[in-house]
Amino acid sequence: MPEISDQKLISLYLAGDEKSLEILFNRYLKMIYSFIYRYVGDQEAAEDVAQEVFVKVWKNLKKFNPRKNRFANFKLRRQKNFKTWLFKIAKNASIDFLRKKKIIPFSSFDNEDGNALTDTLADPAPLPDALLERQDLANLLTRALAKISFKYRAVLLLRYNNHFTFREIAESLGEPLNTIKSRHRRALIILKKILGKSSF
Amino acid sequence: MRQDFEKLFAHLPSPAMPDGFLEKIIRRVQNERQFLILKRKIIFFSIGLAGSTAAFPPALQILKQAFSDSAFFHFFTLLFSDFEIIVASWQSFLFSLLERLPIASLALFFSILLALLGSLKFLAKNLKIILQVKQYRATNQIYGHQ
Repeated sequence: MPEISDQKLISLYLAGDEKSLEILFNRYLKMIYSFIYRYVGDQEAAEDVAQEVFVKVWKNLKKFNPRKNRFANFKLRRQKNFKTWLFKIAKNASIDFLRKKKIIPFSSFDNEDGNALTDTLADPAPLPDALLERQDLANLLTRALAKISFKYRAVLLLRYNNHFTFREIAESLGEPLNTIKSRHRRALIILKKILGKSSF
Repeated sequence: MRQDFEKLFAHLPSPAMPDGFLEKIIRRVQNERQFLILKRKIIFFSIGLAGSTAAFPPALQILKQAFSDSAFFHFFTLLFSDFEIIVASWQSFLFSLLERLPIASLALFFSILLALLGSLKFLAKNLKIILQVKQYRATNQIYGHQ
């Protein structure tokens, strides 16, 4: 059976079908939770923020449905993709949470030697096979991601964990496409460098 | 997509989601919906209270004027001054008394009074809930969770 589109589920929910909202939320729950968890780094906080994200989505569903509501907010009318809209809300909610908690976005790597490195915009060389075969790779990667600043981490997670296209990432993060492409390249360089440092 | 990084991220462990998380979110949405409905009702009843409070003095004035114009009280005082005559022809007296009653003004006055008391009752009962929820959210300022 073909999967019902997000837009269709939203329309069904707005027409009174409560179950559609559950299906829609369930579709993205794990993705959003993981994304937020990687941002805030704490399970309890991730739960709180994820709840808030879905409540915000629910509150704005009517506005998201552009065909039904002519008076919808202009920004929402421009937003065509539910997935990217959802991730945008998740990103903003995570940043809000971190700001409220006064966790200053900090990347020791960026501040110490990141500038010289990120000036180089060539694609990094392929990752060595030895690294990909390491037993503790999951742990290594988790620690490496925690060291990368939020903006780079978000691009990497959306690209390689959620399999977003660059256009979808740009829409989710509210940045121009070219910015995302160069940020992605920088993020790869930074991650590779951190992994290289941590490996030894 | 860089294949090597895709392979690398395949090793990234997914954080375990709490049990019953979807149900929790749906419950939260339902709570928010009820809260929203309550807030709308409070706005409606606040407007009702303001309107009925503003309308109460003129309605009372109209009622007083209507009673004095209809000479209802003159008839009514006969009950004390000429009680025996009234008892003898109580049906005619009652009919005259009813005839003198300013129904329209009374209806207006009582509907305003009912609106005023109803709004007060609703607000007294529910405003407390709204304030408690808001206070709870302010003190638990992560995101205001239930």
